[in-house]
Amino acid sequence: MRVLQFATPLLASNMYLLAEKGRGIIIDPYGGFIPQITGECSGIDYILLTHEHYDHISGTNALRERYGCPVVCSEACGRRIRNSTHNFSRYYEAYAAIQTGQPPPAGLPPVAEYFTYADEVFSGQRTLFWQGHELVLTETPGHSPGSICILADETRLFSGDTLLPGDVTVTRFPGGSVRQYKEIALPYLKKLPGETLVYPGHYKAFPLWEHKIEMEE
Amino acid sequence: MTNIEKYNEAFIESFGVTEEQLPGLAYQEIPEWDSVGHMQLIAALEDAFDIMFDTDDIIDFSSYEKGKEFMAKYEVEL
Repeated sequence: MRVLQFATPLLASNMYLLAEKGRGIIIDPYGGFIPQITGECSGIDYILLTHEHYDHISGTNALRERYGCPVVCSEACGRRIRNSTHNFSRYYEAYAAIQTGQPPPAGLPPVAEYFTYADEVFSGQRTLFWQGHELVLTETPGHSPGSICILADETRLFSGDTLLPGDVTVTRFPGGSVRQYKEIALPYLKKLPGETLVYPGHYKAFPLWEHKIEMEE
Repeated sequence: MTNIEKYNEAFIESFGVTEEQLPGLAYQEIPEWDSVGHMQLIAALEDAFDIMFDTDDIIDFSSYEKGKEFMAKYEVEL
């Protein structure tokens, strides 16, 4: 299985394409990479959302329409992506301007009030068997109520913003919970082998052992 | 709870400060009022007063006092 990472213009969040035998899965869709997706895959079987924040879901409607595949996420994420306040699209331009000290990059469509919906939701855990691979989706709330991690073949973890390299996970966004992070997400992460390769929601991939040290400090 | 109490409470809850710290409090003056904390505050105020800030107002909401001016714009009397 090939894993392709695309850094989007939205706070440099990552979209991932998992490609195998001409088929694909998209994690955290952004609408600007259709030529690259088409060049790699004849079709997309799933769109998976690691959490509900706008910089991770902005391409959901466009890519679902294009590929006719189901959007899968946690039940909480599915509820919150329907609301532009809860998915933060209404705040995105202001937040990006404050965060970067600059207005959003020119040429992007206005965010306005974006909302979307999920086709399939789950609570706790769900396993997808796809093209000979096993993807285990697990709720890991804390950064947001709808956050999940996706473990592929027990070796590769798509962590969304639940785990970022070198950063303490942000749980202070509205809806975030440090208690849930400590009680649910962190125990899940600590059970994973240190050699697990983490593909985070921002920045580059890293082995989990690099971060475990920081979690234990 | 009066409007000024609700306004103050949003800051106190978002940043963990005391009421005595509020006069003169400005963005990035304390670690808690960073870009993430700012969104906490905005969401708390929107919830408390059932309003929706414009994008420019969210960006320009730079201090406790400046925020009071914006609340007046949204017809909230403090």
